[in-house]
Amino acid sequence: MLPVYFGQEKSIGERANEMAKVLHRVEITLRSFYVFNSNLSQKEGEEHKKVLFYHPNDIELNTKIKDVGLSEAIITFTGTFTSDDDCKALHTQKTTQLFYQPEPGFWLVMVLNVPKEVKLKDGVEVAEYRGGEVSDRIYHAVLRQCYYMYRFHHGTLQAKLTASTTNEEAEEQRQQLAAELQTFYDRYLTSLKDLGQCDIMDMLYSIQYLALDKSLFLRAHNFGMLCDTFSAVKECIMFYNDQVVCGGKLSASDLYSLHAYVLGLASAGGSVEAYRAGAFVLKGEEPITTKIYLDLDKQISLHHLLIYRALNVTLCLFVDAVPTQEFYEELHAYLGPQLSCLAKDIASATKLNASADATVAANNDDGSAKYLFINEQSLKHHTNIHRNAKSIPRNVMSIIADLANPIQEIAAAEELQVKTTNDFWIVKRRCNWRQYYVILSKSKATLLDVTQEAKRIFEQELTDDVFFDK
Amino acid sequence: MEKPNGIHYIELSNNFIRFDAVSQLTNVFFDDSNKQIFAVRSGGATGVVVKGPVEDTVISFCMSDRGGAIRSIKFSPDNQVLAVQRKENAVEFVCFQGEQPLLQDIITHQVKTLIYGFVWVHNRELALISNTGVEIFQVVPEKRQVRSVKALSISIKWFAWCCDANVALLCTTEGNTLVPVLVKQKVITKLPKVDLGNPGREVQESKVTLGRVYGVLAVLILQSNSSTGMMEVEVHLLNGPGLAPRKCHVLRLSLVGRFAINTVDNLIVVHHQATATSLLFDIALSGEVIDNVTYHAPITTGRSIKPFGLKLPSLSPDGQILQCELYSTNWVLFQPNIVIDAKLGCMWYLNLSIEPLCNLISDRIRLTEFLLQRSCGKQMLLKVVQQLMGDQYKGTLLPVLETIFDKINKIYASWVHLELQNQTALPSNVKSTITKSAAPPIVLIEQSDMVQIFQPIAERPFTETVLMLYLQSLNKYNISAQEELSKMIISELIRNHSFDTLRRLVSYSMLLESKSVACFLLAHSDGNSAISQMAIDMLGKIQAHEIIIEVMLGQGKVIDALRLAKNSLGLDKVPARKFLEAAHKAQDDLIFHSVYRFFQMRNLRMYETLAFPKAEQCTEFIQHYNNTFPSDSANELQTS
Repeated sequence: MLPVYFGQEKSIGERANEMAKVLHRVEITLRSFYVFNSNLSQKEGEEHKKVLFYHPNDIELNTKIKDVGLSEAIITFTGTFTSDDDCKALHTQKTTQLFYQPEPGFWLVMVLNVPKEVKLKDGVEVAEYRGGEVSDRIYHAVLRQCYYMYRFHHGTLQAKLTASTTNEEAEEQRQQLAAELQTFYDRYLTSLKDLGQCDIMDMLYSIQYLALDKSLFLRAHNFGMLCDTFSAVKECIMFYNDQVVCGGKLSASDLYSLHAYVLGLASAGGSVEAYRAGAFVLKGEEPITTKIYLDLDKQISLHHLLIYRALNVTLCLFVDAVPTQEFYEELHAYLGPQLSCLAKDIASATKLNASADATVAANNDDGSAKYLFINEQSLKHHTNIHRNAKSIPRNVMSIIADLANPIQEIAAAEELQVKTTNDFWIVKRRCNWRQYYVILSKSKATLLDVTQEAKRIFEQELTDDVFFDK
Repeated sequence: MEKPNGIHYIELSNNFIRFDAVSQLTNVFFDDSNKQIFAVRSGGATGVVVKGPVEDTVISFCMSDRGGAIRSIKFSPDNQVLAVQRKENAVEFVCFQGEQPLLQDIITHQVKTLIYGFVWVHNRELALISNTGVEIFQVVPEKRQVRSVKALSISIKWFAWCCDANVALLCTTEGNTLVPVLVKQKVITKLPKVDLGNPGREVQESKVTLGRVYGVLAVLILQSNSSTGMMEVEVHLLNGPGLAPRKCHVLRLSLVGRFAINTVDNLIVVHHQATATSLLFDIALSGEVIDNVTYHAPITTGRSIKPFGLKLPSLSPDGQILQCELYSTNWVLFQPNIVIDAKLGCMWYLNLSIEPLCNLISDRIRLTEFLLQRSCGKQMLLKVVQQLMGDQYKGTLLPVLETIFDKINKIYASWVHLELQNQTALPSNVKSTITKSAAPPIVLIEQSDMVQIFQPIAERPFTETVLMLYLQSLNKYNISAQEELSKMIISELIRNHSFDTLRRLVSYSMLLESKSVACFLLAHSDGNSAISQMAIDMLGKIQAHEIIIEVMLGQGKVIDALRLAKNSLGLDKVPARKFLEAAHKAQDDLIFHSVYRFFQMRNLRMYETLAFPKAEQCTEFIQHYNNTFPSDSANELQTS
């Protein structure tokens, strides 16, 4: 038999506390978020220079400097024990701080208020902080995404600070960068999704791919040959609604950023009807062109992103030069008829799938077993966990996040069964760079029952993947 | 008029036939059924030389001049009976023994009608076409008899014969209708008449040509366009219901004057004497369609036949070369592609020179359609496609390439499916006559041919795009990718880091799933786990568990391999030594312990003891286990 591990989430004492009545609960929130680079202030009295961005903005500069100073101290302190950027997270009773150094010298720090439950204990209101519910790995990924999204729109941070000759020029660049960060993150942080809802899919940058039949896939894929037809177009990515049809050669993080960006635009773009014959997504009268920095061939380079839409298909074109009016017209003439035709065919094909899925979904609605399958290589996931619907408790999600293997690690087979304090069972299997989780909520289940049930779900749901242990 | 350095798409064949030229003494006849040239000297008295269908096939003999000039002379298909017409109401039959005539046994067959001509329909059967109808006679040399077998009574003005299709086109005296008649051994079948549009229209014999185009008999009628006055060729194809002729095509010549028509490789060649040019038409290509009739323009502007230099027999070593006069008034054309210069004494076959023609058709899609119908088009088409992907590659030409792939694969698919049908139909049909294999398409370009021309463009920036286009085209026609193509696609995708595409190709089973392809993937994984995953997926699909086990052992995943071995081979068939050895090599005590314990448990179940059977040769690993885990082994000793 292979080993079976039991996970015990909380101590007995904690469980006893749960008996007390919960008055209200405050979910995880963002306390502060800052970007700094220690190298920017070499002299005493210039400490404010290293703070490139601080959220919230409306607090005293001194507090900002202090916070940054504390973070610097923690990073330096941990650095004495481990290698340079190994400082990942710091837990205090009320907060969780996450550290990320995307580029040498530049640190992003995110401070979260841990969820708290206010309880009535012996007639007194007591706040109980639930730091254990904050999964480092999930929120570290959220922090990382904050950086990637910035890089996606503005390029690397270091690229902005090129001057080293005169102090004045360097200071000017520093201020520019700070202003840019200010405008970007002010908008980004307000649009950031509810932190309490972040889950393993955020952690893995997992995106859903649209399942198509062979011929439609090839048609959609070969639509990318327009990169050859129009030499200015360097890459072309196709989405259908919120699913990826063809991801091209984009790296997982870029694709995730692009996906998030395009979804953000989706509402701004107007109704599907407007794109019946295909059109560029407009901003006012002009087609949107966004400067985008892509990590292609291990080099971060500037591209112009054009978004073309036909029915439910969104085509993202990366162009290496500022497009002219003729270019738009030429592209439109080429794309319009072909893409709307393809969009119609995909729509009719997915309708068939959707009706089949609906019946499956109806069967799954009883809320018994949840499953989550992730292909580490493609980051494709298959699940019946409805995101943002609280179908599984946070602690279960945290456990899955802790169990989930980091991508690109040598993948050995694993088999784990975890029982949580609130009587959930998590069965994990991993093989051939795929991770499979089944979540069961059966308080009286025995190990054998759980094994049997998990086996049944694996057999039922794993039709497309090769799983040796059926 | 001659353009020595010009481009010529029609040439006279080099395997021409020389014969005695027409003179006061010599008469020359040509039999288009047997493709034989008869040079008759002095009515046969001083010799008859028969040549054809090639220069080397010669029959020469003498026969007595029996009075009256020879009007027609034709051998039976087996060259054993010679039919000679000297009078307008009689045909003589001369029987042959070997290559010599039995002149004493001449059978003279006399009729009361006016004979227009005769054709052999079988070794001993001959159809006589006269002003009153068509009659088939059987020649019985042993009894010196000629028997009537079948007759069709119809008053005839003139007739034309197509030997390939065994069809005679009769022009009736009443109403000037053109009636095709199928004449075969013992059978005469009257077919529906040719619809000439207006009923009073009279068609002259010289304006009509019978030919076979794409396996269908075509009646080609030269006529002038009523509005423009330019000449046109009406093409009536006998492919309607009951072989009813249908006016399907009109070839616009845009010229006036004298014309002659040949068919070469399913192309209609219209020679124009005045300009000494030949126009090419392909009725398979698209044209302007009006009222279900397709109007065709020439494939390219008219060009002359390639000049032909005839080497005359001479004593001097370099010889003397005679430039033959092209489109000469001495030329007589026969179907399908025969040119005879009676004055010169030379007979040629017209051939298509496809390479110069390709340079004249700039539209690559039209060129593909054209080449797909030519008997020698395959190599040329491959060359054209190769050029499109090679030196002439342009991103903007990809849609053209896509269309060309589709056209090629449409034919390829129909052939593949036909072959598949034949294979599956074989057991049910006992009689082998039914499973007679169908003729392959004129130009069949298979996957292997394409791979040949893909190989030179390997590792170019656009190769992936081209291969994916070809794969899409194959998929459109339900043809699966074979090994070579699959491997090429894999290499290109890996080279371009298009793992996402590759993964989806593998998961959709669009590449060939075989051990060899999976191993190819593995060999190119180079530590990239994405590719390893695909390779294992593919092996899993084809249930090649042994290979997966080896792969996993190679990757040091002993536990994974063991788990798979247990599930696929069965507990009792897992070789203990192999796994213990791999676990030992992994240098991880936990792995070794787990594997060792697994086999101990197996031993317990199978042999009711923890100990390994001697045959498994595991002594060194037992030793290693005892050394590494001394306390464990001590416990076991106590328990067992």
